[in-house]
Amino acid sequence: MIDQQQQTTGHAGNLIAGTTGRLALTAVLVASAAALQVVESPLPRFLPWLKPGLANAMTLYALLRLSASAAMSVAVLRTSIAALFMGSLLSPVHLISFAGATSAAASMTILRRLFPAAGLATLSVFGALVNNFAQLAVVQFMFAANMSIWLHLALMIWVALPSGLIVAKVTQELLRRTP
Amino acid sequence: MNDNLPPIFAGKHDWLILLVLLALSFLAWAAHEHGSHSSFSGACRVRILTEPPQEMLFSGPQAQPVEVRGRTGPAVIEWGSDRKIRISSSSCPCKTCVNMGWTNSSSLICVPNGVVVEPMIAGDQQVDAVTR
Repeated sequence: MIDQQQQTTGHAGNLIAGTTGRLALTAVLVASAAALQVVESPLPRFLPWLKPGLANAMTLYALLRLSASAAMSVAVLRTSIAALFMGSLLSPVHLISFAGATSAAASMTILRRLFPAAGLATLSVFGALVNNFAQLAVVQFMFAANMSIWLHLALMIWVALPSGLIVAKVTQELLRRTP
Repeated sequence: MNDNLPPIFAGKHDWLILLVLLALSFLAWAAHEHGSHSSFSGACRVRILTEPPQEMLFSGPQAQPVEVRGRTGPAVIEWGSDRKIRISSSSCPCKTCVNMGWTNSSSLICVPNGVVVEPMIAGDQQVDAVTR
């Protein structure tokens, strides 16, 4: 009887702890990603668009440690919270950031399903590239009258490579340091 | 510590995908170089996406930098001696448009400030400056 009660309580406890734990971890990742996005925003850049994109590490971590939906939640919520803090909520800047982050999360999820053995660098670089590509597409849709904006694509791809590798290394460290 | 980690590079798929990306970047760079050799003479269209939106057409390089007022404040457009154009300063917070530097082919877009500078090839415009 006692064993049965302990098993039931233990099962329920694990279930609640599991759900709560996942929710708490998602919330921590959202908060960390939003903070990183806000902090990174005013940092000086050597090249246009060249920023580490460390917030994307939280999305990648959520994808690997939790689930695709958690990764998408991190992407959606962190861009909205960061935009709220930076005073750009629902502005074009927010929409561009939102499109980039969610596209990166979706693309990394798809790539991971297509190539389950893909390394962190591939996932991260691909995410960074799709992030830039989606941002350019939104800018094209909202602002540009001609297609010449796509001439920036070469620069954006080159920028995606180092930033993707940095994000991959940060994600690996996060995975290594957390149980 | 968690020692069961996914690797940074896992195998041949990783290198294949990265090689495809590098090939894409080379193609994009080639397209950029091809676009840079267009017959840009300094003519450009400047759109300011405020309410109401404004549009300015310049048929050639201007001797003095032109200041326009966007959503967040002034932005300065400058023509160089080598038939290139840039946004030399802007009141936007991120300064991505300024960091884009000189161009003679691709558009310069300042999203926060709502300023769009579009280089035009020679012969597209016959006017000095029009504002509407």
